[in-house]
Amino acid sequence: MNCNNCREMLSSYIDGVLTTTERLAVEKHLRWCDSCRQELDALRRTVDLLKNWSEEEMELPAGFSEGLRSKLEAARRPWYRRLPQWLSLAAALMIVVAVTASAGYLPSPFQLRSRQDASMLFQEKTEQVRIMEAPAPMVMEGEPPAIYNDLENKGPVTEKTFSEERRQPVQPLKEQGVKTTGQAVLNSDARETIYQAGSGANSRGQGANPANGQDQQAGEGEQLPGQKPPEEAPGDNGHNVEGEFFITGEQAEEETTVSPSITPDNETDKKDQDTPDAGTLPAVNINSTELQQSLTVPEKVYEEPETTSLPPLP
Amino acid sequence: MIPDDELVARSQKGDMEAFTLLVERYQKMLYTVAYRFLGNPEDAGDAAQEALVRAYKNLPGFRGQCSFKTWLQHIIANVCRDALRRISRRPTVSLDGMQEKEGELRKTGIRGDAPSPEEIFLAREGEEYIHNLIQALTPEYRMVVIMRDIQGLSYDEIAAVLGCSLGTVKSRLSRARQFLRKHLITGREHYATQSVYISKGGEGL
Repeated sequence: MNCNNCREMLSSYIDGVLTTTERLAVEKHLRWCDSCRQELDALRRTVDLLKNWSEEEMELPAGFSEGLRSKLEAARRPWYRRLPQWLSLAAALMIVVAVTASAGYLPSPFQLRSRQDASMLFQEKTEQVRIMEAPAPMVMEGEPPAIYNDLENKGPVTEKTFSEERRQPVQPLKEQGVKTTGQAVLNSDARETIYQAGSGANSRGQGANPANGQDQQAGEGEQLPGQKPPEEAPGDNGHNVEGEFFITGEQAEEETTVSPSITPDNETDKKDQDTPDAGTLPAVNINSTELQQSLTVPEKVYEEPETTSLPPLP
Repeated sequence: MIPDDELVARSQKGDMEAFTLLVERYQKMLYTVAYRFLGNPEDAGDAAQEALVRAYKNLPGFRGQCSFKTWLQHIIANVCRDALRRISRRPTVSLDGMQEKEGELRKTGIRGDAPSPEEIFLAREGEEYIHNLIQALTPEYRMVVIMRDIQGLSYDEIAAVLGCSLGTVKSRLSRARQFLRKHLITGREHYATQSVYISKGGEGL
């Protein structure tokens, strides 16, 4: 071992972190090398100097404690109470993201397929036109709050009614059809925007989710006072706003065959495909299931990224 | 004096008063270490505050693996490491080139050669001198030498904080110490070390 090697190891030698071999080699070199011994001594004193020097504590700068207190206060507040300042911004961002993301691929499959499919959509269209013509001033009056309410309430409805309808196929449908005709007025103008905004609100996880579907619809009926009286609604089903989204198997069945089956959820769908009933009405049923798939699948795809993107926001 | 353990336990149960006592006990230590790392009061104050906030937030996860003080030393080291990485400091000494070293030292107001004994004789100046020497090191060397010789962390702990190998810690520490040794203890080392020792109340030579 030469002096250069030795000096490189002296620091570690002082701290006792050399391997046994290294340590023995250093010690052997030190035994006959005077200058390296001096170097070791100087290095030791340097280290001691640093240690002694560092024991003295400095005075805190002015304002340190105040700054610390406010930082600790901020840290003490639980995350959900620190949230509000972010929430509005986050919510706004979510809506923007939802609109831009869904604008790409949501409307096209829905509108195309549903138009091909159902005459009810045509009815809806004409209905909307009529509504637009008739109570136009009322609509204008009611518009600002209605749009606002859309953001708050309608979003959840899209999801709610979708599943709700599947569970209670017959009765709620009629009510809904009647009461929600009002929505069509709004949507004839701003369907996409409202839906997407609604879904944005929906993804925020707030709003009236806990309310059941019927309450929800009743509420919406109230939001648009003086709207269409029920009897003017041309069809039970040609109807709601997100009409495209609600053409479930049950609905289609209801129109074509009077199927009283109130089987829950997916079993109904399976029956559609399995039972001979379904066979007799191939066109309608195939379309309806197809539709449902086309509706459910993008809905999932569309919701997924939002729910996953939620947690990191705060 | 209430032992740290008890104060920590009380703090973990939400006793803010207990945590305040811990803060008062260690805030100066943290500030001083941060000042050695970062070189100026502003950054050091921010770092010490940040360390205490981090300690508060992570208190539930502290299970007494080490002493509370050591735990704080780790936190302040991490905070200062992040701060050093974030802000590129003023020009510092590269230990690779002697010439560069000399030039930089003059720039930071330190004689390239050994200080005169008169300089060192004055205690405050001695303090300042060591501080400036440490600031003259590049961050990677400065961090190692502070963590080892000022904070007293082990080689393994330093390697963990810096995310580097044990060998890197050893070689960096060796070079940083040699640099400090060269400027603290030279041919006139007897005066220098003696005076600093005396001024620090040490045992002398």
